[in-house]
Amino acid sequence: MRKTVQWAALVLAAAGYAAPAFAADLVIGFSQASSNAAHRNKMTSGNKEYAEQNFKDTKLIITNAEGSSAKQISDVESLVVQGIKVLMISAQDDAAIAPTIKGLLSSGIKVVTLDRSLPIPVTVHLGAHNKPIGVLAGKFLVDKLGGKGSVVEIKGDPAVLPAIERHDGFADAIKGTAIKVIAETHADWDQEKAMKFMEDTLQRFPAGQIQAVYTHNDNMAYGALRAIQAAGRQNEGILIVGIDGENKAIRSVAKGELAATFTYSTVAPEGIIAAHALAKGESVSSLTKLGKIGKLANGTPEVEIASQMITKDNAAQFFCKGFGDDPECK
Amino acid sequence: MRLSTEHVLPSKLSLPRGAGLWIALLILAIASSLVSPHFLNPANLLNVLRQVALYGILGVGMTFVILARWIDLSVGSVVAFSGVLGARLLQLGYPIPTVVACSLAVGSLIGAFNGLGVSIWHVPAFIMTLGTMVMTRGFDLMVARGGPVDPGPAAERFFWLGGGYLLRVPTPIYVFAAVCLVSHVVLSHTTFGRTIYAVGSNEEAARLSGINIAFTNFSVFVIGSFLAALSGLIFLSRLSVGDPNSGNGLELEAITIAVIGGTSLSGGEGSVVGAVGGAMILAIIANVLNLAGVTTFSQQVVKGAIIILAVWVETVRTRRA
Repeated sequence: MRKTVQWAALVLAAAGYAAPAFAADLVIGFSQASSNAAHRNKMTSGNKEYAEQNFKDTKLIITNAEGSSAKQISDVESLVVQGIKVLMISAQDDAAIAPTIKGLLSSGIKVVTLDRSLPIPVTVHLGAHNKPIGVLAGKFLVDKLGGKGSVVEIKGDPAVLPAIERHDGFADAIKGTAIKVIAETHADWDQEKAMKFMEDTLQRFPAGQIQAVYTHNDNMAYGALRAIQAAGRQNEGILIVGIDGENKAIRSVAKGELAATFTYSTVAPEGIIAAHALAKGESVSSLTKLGKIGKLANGTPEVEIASQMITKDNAAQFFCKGFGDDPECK
Repeated sequence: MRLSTEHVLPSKLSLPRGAGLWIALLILAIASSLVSPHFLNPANLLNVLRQVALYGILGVGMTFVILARWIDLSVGSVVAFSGVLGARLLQLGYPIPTVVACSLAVGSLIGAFNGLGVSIWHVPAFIMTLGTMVMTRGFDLMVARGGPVDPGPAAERFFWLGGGYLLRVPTPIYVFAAVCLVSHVVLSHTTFGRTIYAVGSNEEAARLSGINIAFTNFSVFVIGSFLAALSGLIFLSRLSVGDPNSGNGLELEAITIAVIGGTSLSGGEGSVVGAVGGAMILAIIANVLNLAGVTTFSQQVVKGAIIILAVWVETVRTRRA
């Protein structure tokens, strides 16, 4: 009896694993880290939809580690069993997954890292850079304010690199101008924390003393916007700048509530386009159409996907092309 | 805070119970007005009161739970879930009263589940509510599909509950006042309220005097979660978006408010009035540090120190008693 069960399990497993491997010519795996952020979900769905519509020769198998680096290792192992030629991965923990990825590379599977790079050399890395986004946001405000004015900066979580780089880029861009950061906080990407800080800051600086608010993501930009509206100070012309390019923020930019937002690439569909090209045997240098090709410190070739500035003038072109919930997009 | 006044003042001058809290609040308010000229600005005081209201509702809920000598770690998740659920239902076009009722009902159900675990299955409250904290966050992310939920056009009408004004006073302050009034009456002037104190101070004695222990324990969790759900709806209307990752650490905020307000972690002692004072102290500290332009890092140091101080004062006081 026990033997029969074992055999049945084995046959089922073989059927489940082998079938997709023969159904299409190219099998590509995508190991996603988690699904608790809209940006990450768009990375998953954007690549999946693009593959379904454009790559009929490809079978894309997606796994989700749901925030566990241990699960991600077994996810990757299960993808290998299914015969993938290329692995796309956004790592939950870069150090934990590195040994597994090393094994994959030595067995001839190509590895494309998305958004989060690894400490070891892989085939190619695709992602956006945060510092240039900070620079873009800074230059935008320098330009809009004519090189002088007082800015409130609402930063992300101080423990993570994006917040540090989005700050550094901005600080570089306003250096040497008469633009001053008069108040700053870390609101940890949290809208409510940003709103609370902005409520207090509006009390500290009466009408006319704040020209702009620079926030490290759109979520916190909303917090600042809500505080300004609740205090009845929306007619002072305080410019609010966000980052990420969420669908909802793009609508607000179009309405003039936010002055601008800067996209932070979801690497969709660039991820699947790169993986597909590599699976077809093309080289990394053929990926120039996706972005600027450079090199990471560990020698991995990198495709940097540039940020796009969204202002009132071009917002309409970006409707529904960002990420996150937007009832008007369905 | 109570300790320091007891030390400073001779025992003959002993103040009514809980007076230390209000003296500390007064000193804090005076210090704040010296630190920042904007502090006493009427607009700023309303701003502080609004923040008192937002967190105070959670503090009052936690007071009920701690009075019965339990703890509820799930309130932060309930706040987020209630907001996300509300946002999703508004997005689907349900009328506001239905949405409010649904979120409050779901919040209460989570509390009922906690209550069941603690009072019937005898799972320690710390573990039980830690479990529901994680589970609720899971439901929250499921309903939100991982990202912020935009309630759509209904948000503008719903905004009034958390972001609007009535007679130039922010609406959450009225909600908080109502919550405090009802809670105070329930705790101090009803049999049910007295059974909570009785169960919290000595469960065995309460059992012997015929009190239904299981029901009392069950109820405090339902009340705590109901108020967390209410607070979630106010956050939703204030921000006009349901953010599934919000509410992290709010359980600590709520516990801090209750404890600073003189609620004993070993149960049976504490009051709604104390929770109001606790919420005021926390809100004023956060406000004045922002007004003075103190960095986030230093703010965290100050806040952590206050939590330790409050619990330490509480410990010393219990030992002396």
